[in-house]
Amino acid sequence: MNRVHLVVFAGLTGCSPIDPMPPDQPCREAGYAIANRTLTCSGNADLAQKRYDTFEKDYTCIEWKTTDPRFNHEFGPEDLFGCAYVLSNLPCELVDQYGNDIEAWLMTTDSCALVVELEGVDTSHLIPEDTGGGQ
Amino acid sequence: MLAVTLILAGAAHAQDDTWIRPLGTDCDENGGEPIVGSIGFTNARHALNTNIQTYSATAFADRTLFRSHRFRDSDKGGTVAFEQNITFGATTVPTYNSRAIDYAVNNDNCTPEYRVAMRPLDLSSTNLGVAFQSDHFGFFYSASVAFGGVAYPHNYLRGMMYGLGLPMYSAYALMAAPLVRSGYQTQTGASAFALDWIGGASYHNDHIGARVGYAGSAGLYAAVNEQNSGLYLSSVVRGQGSILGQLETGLDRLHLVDQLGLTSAFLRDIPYGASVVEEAGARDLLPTAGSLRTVHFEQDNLFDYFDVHVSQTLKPVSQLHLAQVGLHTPDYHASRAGGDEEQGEFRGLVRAGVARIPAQAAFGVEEGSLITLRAEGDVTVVGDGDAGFHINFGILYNDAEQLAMYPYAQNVLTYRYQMKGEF
Repeated sequence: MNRVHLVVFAGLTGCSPIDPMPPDQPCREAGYAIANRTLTCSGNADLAQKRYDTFEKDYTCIEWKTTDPRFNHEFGPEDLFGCAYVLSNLPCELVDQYGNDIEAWLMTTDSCALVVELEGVDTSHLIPEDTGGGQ
Repeated sequence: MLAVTLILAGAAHAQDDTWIRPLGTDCDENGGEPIVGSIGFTNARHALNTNIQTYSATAFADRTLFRSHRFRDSDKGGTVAFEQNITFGATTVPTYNSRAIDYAVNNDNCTPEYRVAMRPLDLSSTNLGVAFQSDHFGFFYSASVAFGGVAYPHNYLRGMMYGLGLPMYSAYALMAAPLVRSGYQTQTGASAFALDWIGGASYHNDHIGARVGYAGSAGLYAAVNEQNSGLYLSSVVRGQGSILGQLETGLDRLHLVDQLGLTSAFLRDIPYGASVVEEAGARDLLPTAGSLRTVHFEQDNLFDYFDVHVSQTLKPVSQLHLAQVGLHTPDYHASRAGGDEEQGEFRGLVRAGVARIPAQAAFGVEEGSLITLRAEGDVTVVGDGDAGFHINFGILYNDAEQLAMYPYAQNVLTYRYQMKGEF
């Protein structure tokens, strides 16, 4: 009976308060950043959605598990959000300049190549050499 | 029973890998570090501001104290009200949990699986208000404390925080509100706290009602309403550096034909992503002059038993929320003329539906459908003619009201508790 009370007590607050990061989350965050920045700078929600749809259709996400052995103290899954961070801070002048050219958005920073398949971008300097442990 | 529950829950929480505390989930109990640049972080900042605006001292006074028949009749009397709103999961925030890195060394119960985790944002508000009128003149006072942050990693701790901790610290904060002359607002990361109060004077006759006041954190407050039609306008002029502001205008519970019940329509505009006090070096990702503008149409007590509510967000994006149809006990909604209070009377309301959510990548929302539910109960504890004391409890799940406030919400749950006396 008391267990029932505990279940109700816990359940009253809704769903699980902690879930692992979905493997494609950092990639989708890059697309969300493009859409959100477009909305902020242009006020056009349809254009924001259209750019995200183009991103989703034309680019392939690189998935990462949080338990990936390449993560260590210097490089972790939190660093995969660097692309979204840069894109969500783009000045409106650059947002206007890049427009519907999604590749131009993604080439703003090398960190986007960690989460989206981009040709010709070297990411080796973003991942420390001595990976493979530390946890 | 409560003591037994708490002891058992505490004992269960002390064990590793139990249903109440699964393996590896003790990750930064104060919410971890929200990841700046993620859409969840941006949404969280908006949600924190919206919570503070919606449940500000001024908005509460407008909604609860003045839309009372006490401010329509020329009788002496008053209103006192207390309300708490607790919202779970307004948005989801990616967080970085530092303890996961060294879990093997520290033997912490936070595994690398949760080094970056998705965690909900919880919001709360507590309001207290009192108003009194004598013939044509009166005075009012209202205070608010609003708080929000990334949730604890366990539902048990979440429940403890909002079920036990919040009522205690909110009561102290509300009592101290007038001492903090200009109010107090702080926001850092994905958490915020705001304490505010408003005091002022009112005047009314058979035709108009008017109120002027000073809001501790915001500056001047003014409101005017026409007594017969229910037309009203209320505004707070934002003071420099304040995140609080409000504009609301519309029609309050117009009663034309008995079978149609009460008709309300209003437009609300509150700051959205307003500039906030930042820690040195923190980056402001938010626009400084945006607004969250919504329009609402409410047909209550339709054929005594039904409600129809429609709301639409106009800014920052245009989004129509599905109309909700509600069923309730007869004449659930009080008219502006008031009604007879009967001791022990129970009134209830249930609204349910399905909301179609369009894709909104700018908020990180995928296209889909949400089940919506709203249930309210109202008990008249003391009733004597047109005076009385009520306790009202409500549960809202993806309700139109919530989706208008938090357009990025997916599974948002709100508990509302209100006590109100009219004497």
